[in-house]
Amino acid sequence: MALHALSGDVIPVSKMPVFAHERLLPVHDALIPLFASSSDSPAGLVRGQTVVCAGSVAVSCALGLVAGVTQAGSWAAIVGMPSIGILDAATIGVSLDRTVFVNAGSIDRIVTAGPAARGDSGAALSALVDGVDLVVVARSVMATLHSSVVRRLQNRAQSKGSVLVVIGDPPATSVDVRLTARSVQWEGLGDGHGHLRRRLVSVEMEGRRCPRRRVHSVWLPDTSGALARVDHLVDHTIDHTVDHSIDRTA
Amino acid sequence: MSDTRLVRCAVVHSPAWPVTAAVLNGRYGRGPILDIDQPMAILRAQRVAVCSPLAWSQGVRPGQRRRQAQGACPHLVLVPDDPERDIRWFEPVARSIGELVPLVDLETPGSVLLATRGPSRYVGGDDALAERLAQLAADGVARICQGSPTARDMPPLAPADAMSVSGGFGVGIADGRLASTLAARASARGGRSVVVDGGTAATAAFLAPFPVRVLATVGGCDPDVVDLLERLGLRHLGDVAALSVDHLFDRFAATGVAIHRLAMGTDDASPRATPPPEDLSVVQTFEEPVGQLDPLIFAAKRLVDELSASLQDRSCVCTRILVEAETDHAESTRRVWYRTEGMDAGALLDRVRWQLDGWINADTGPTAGVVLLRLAPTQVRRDSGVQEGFWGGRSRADDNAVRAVTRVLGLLGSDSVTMAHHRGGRDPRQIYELVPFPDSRHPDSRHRESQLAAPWPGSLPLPAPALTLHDPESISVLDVDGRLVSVDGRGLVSAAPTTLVRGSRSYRITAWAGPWPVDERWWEARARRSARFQLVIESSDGPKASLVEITAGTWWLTADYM
Repeated sequence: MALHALSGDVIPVSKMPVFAHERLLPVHDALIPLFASSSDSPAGLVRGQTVVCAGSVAVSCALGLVAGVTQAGSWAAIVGMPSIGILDAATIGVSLDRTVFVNAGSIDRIVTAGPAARGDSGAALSALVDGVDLVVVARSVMATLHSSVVRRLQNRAQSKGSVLVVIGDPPATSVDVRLTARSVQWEGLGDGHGHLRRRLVSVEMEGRRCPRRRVHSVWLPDTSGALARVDHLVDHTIDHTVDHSIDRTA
Repeated sequence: MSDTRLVRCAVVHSPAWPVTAAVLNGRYGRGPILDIDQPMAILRAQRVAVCSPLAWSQGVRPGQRRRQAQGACPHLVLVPDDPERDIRWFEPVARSIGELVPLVDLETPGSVLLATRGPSRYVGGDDALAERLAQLAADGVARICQGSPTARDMPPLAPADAMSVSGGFGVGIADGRLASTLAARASARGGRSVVVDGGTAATAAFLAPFPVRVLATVGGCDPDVVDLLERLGLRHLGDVAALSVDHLFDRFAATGVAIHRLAMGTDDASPRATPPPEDLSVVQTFEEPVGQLDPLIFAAKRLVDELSASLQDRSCVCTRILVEAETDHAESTRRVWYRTEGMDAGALLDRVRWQLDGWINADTGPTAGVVLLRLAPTQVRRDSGVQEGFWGGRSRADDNAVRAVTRVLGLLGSDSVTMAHHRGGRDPRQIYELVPFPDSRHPDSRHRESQLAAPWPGSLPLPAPALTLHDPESISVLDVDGRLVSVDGRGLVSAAPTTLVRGSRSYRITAWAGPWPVDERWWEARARRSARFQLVIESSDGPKASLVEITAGTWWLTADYM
C-alpha cells in the first residue's frame, strides 16, 4: 500500500493522548518519595493540574516545587507575593535565571479598577499559563478572580500543560492535589543562644488526583538553607518528642 | 574530485550600515537627530553590535557591554537596534545596484552579493565593475540625502558625511561567497576595492591569512568546531588548508572535508547547505490587486507558515530564498535573501516585509496593486536544531516563557514583572534586588554560587526567611511578668522574652536567640541602630520561627520563616 494512503490515519505525535505519568514536571529530589506512587514509577507534578500548598510552611513548600522545576530548565512565575524571600528561594535551589516575579501591586491596581478590568488579571494569569510551566499564585490574587475565570484558567493550564500552584486555600477552585506542609520542629535555637539551623517538615499529599494520602518528611530548610531528604527518620513515624535543645552544644 | 569552478561574486558591504541608517532616520524625522561628528554605536541586547569608525578609534568594540563602551568613550551616542530601519534605508542602495544587475542577494542590511559574470563583461572587467558598484552604492545614498528635509536649521546632509559615519562601502570581487565577502570587508577597511584573481590558487592565497573564526561568522560552519580548531592551534585559514584532507576527515568526518574545501577556496557552499530536493516554492495570486502593505503581509504570513511547515516536514531550514512580487502593470520586485544560520518563519516573514515595504512605499514604487507573490527557497540545509520534547521540554521553554511574560508586560505595565539579581548585603531583604524584566544582565553574573559563598560580615546565618516583610509589622515581645522586653545601649536584654503579641493574639515563645545588634550608617543622619532576635513560637500548626527587630524601644516583625 502506498504510504500516503496511510497518512490520513496517523495522529501527529504532539496531538496524541498521553498518560498522566508521561507528562510530568520534575520535582526536587527530596520530594520524589512523596510524588512517586511506587518506588520505581516516575515522580513529578502532573502537567495541567492545580496544586494547593497549605499549612504553616506553605511558602517554602511552594518554593521547593519551583526549585525542582526551574532546575530542570523550565520557567516559573511567582505572582502576587511581593514579600517572598528571594535569598531563601535561592538557597532552596530555585534557579533565579528562570523565575519571574509578577508584581501584586499591578494586579491589585487592576482589581481595584473595577469588575470590567478584573478580567485583565485573569488575562495576565492565563498569558503566564500559556508559556510558563509553573505559575505560583498567592491566595489573595486567586480570591479576586471570579470562579468562571478560575475555571477558564484551569482549563487553559490543562491544555497548555502547565501547573498552577496556589499558596493558601483558594475559594471556588477545584484542587487536584493538596500539599499540606507542617512544621514539626525547629532545631538550633535555644533559650537565648544558638540560631535557627534546620526545620523538620512533614508534607502531606492528598486530593482527588491522588490515589491515597501520603506523608513524607523533609528538612526544609536544612542547615545550608536547602531542601533535603531526611535520612534517619522513617516516614509516618515522626518522633514528636525530639529534644528541642538538640543543638545546644553546637 | 572534480574541481568545479566557483561562481565569481561581487560583494558590496558597509560594515556599520545601521549607523548610517540611524542618521538618515533622524534626518527624515523618524527618529532622534544624530550629530554626525559624535561617535555612535548600535546597541543590541545591551551590547554594542556595531559602532562607527570614530567610536572604534576611541576604543569602542562590538560585543562590549553598554557600561564598558561608555567607559571607553564617555560621549558615545547609543542608538537602539532596529533591523527594519536598517533595511528601509538600504533599499534605495540595493535598488541603485539593481539598475546594473537585476537580481541581487541581500544577506544583512548593508551587504549585497551578486554574480559578476554578466555585469563584468558588460562594464569591461572586474576592476571596472568594482568601481561601478562603489559608484552605484554611493549614488543610492546620495539619492536619499537629496530628498532629506533641511528643516530645523540643519545643513543638508552630504552623502559623503552620511557614508563616513559607517566607514563607507567596500567592494570585493572574488571566487565564491566566502572569499568575496572577506574581500569586501577588507576593502571597507582599506578604502579601496579588492579584486582577487580568479582560480583556486589565487583564492587560497587570499584566504590564507584570515583567522579561522571567519568560517563561523561568514562561512556558516558550526562555531563549536571552529572553536576547537582554534584551540588545536589552527589560527588561520592557511593553517587549515595546509593540513591533509584525510586528517581532517579522520577527526571531523564530512565537516572536516567541508572546512578544508572552504579554506582551500575550492568550495563556498556552507557545509550543510544544499539546493532544495524539490520545488518548495509557494505562490499566492490575488484576484483583486492589493495595493496596501498590510493585507499583503497578511497573505505573506500564510505563505510563510505553509513554507515553514513543509520545510519542517523535511527537517530542513531555509538559508536562501527568492522573494518575488508582481503588480497588475507587470512591475516586479525580485530579491534573494540569504542568512547563514537559516531563517525560521519569523525571519522569513521579516524579510518579505522588508522587501515589500521598501518597494511599495518608495517614491518610485509600483503604480498598481500586487497580483502575484512567490517565495522560492533556493538553498536549504538540514535543521540541526534541538529536537523539541514531547511536552515542550527544554528547547522551547525559554522562548515560550519570554513570549508569555512579554505579553503580561503588555497587560499589566512595564514595571509589573521583575527578576532577581544578586547584589549582596546583610539584610535578607537587600541581598537580591528585583530588576525589571527583560533582564539585561551579563551571563557573568550568573555565577551565583560563589557570590552566595562570599561572607557579608553581620549577615544572618542561613537558612534565610521565606517571607521578608517590606512593611514590618508592629508587635510586642513580653517577658514572663508581661513587661515589654527592651535592649539597653550595651546590647543587653532586660529579661528573657516569653510571649509574642501580634494583633490581638499572643503566642508562647519556646526558643529565642539575640540580641544581634545592627549599627548601620552610624556616620550619617540616616543612622539605624537596632537589635535582631530569632524567635520560635508555638502555634496550632507546629513551631513557627520569626525574625523580629527592636528599634528605639519598638518591636517589629521583619521576616517569617514560613
